[in-house]
Amino acid sequence: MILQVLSTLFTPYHILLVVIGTPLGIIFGAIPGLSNTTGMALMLPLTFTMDAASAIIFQSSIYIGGISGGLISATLLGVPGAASNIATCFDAYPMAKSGRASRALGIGIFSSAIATLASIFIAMLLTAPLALVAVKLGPWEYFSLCTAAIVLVVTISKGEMFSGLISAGIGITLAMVGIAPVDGAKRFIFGTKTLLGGVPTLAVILGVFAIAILLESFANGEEVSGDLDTGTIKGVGIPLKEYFSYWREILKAFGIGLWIGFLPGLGAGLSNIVSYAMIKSGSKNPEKFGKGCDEGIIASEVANNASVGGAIIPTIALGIPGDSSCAILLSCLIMQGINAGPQLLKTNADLVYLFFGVLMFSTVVTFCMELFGIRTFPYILKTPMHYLYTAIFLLCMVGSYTESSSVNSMIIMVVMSVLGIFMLYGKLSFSPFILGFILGPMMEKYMRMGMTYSDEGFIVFLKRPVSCILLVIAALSLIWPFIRDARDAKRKASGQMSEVEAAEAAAEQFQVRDD
Amino acid sequence: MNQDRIFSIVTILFSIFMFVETGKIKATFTNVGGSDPGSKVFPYAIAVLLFICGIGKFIRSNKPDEKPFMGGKVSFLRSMACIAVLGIYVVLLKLVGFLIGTVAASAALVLIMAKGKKLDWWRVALFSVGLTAVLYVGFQVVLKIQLPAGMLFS
Repeated sequence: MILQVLSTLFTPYHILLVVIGTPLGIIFGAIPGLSNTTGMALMLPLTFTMDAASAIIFQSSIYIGGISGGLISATLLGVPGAASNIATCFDAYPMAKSGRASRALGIGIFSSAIATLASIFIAMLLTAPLALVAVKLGPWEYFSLCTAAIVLVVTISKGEMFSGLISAGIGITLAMVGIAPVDGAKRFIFGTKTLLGGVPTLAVILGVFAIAILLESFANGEEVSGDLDTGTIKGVGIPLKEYFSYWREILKAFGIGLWIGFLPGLGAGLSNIVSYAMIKSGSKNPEKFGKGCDEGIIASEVANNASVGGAIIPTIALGIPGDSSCAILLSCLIMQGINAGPQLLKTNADLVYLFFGVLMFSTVVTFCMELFGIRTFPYILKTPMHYLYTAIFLLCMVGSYTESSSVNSMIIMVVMSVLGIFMLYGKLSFSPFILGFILGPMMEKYMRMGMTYSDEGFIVFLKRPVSCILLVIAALSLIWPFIRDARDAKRKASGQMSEVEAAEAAAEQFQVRDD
Repeated sequence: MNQDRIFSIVTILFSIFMFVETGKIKATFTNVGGSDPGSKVFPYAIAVLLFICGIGKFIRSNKPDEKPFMGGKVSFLRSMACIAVLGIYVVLLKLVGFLIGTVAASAALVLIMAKGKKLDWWRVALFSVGLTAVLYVGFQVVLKIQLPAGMLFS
């Protein structure tokens, strides 16, 4: 299998895809307002002309590049490239301002590479056993798993619960347009043939994750400004021996990132803040955090990259995306005609291990590109937004056209962008939305299959132990936001705030979307 | 009334619309087997969920808006203008084709997104033509995807 993966990966064409995809991802990750999710969404149309292996290689390279790219603007400009780099700003920027930019970047780059490689390796080890368990599950368990995944995303992540459920509901509603599963009834097509095939996934992703989010950035005036000091960037930045002297912080941040990444819909956007807060609270010198300390950068960058492996595990083993980027990856697989679920390891094991292989290879390429190209990437941040965003919008339009060679897809995409803006108006998060859009059809299919196989109605879902446990977890998690709000109100009244809450409050100033 | 409450009202109205439309769904056959609930149950459930959550959000949203939506009225209108340009771009593609449509849309978007900044006309023209050329070469020549030629030219 290893030889097969290597022989597939190391062809000139595939290496070229990695070499193009990785810096693209770094650029998207580095520019505030963009993200690796946006980059992956934009490049989805290009994957139509590729075979499955090439599509996975290209998208995965952008994914890995983007996760790491955000530390460049976080360090040099004090502006996070994405939500996964918010906590990086707290210490990397002060360190760079004090003339130690290369040290800050070096710590960030090493942390990214080590954490990503280790988390991917762990994902490789854990995915197969989890998939073995997953294939033994029936439609009842899958329905409950999908329900629990959506509810957990809604209730654990930040934001008001009703908003989260509305967001998920909108995603599920969109997914119901077209032909119903099991009996093929036509739903919500309003007499048009265009909607018979459902709302195109690409139109949804480009309209919501690219155009709507970018228009919000543009409207809020999020342009990169400030002094760009690359003069102090020299060499690697930090001796390896000194870097590994922080092994306790590295391990702690890694564990936090891996676990949070594993929870569906959460990911690097949350893990970096939680990790930073917990390492600061456990430090003997918490007062040095926020002033340019090594541990602060390590806490954030190790955690946000460890989330990569954590997010991949449920994506491959269960077909449930670990974060928004994994949702785009799953969409890419679905568009290639590959059923992304627990059977994936059985039916397309070569693709799965190729995926792991390209993630590791992209990590190494990202590490090298950032280390040796670090002086040039910052100048990309100076691109005027009116040119950059125009190019992206038109790329979205042409990209959506490629799905069906029809302008109808473009019209649907424009409508989706209006929907995305309306969701922003209602302060809705997009994570439950995309999860609902992808998991909604699966939920309905498994619910109907489960009820078709039995005469007991919905009770059968509660009679099966695993299904019952998952539904109980989902139900209990619906109570969690009320407990959390009561606890926060009590803390606020007494003037107390945990380190995590303090970090989240500090993160508010950046107003970076965590999607 | 704050943003959240307006949004909640729209959600409630949409859920009612969805409930009514679900009632019009025609099943292709009546009995799949077992206790299959049919194609309407899931949409009904989501409609009810949206209705309840719309009411819940309305009740819990009693704080005034902290900041204007999308940077205020002017910024919001600029964003809507961008979307309008994208909509007109679709029409232009059908009428005059990809090359002319993309140059025009590109120039319009750059001018809107410049937020009133004075731009050199030749830079805007160069960018628009250059972007169109890159997209054309990338999609039509390299990826061999047939881009619209336009009704007037085909």
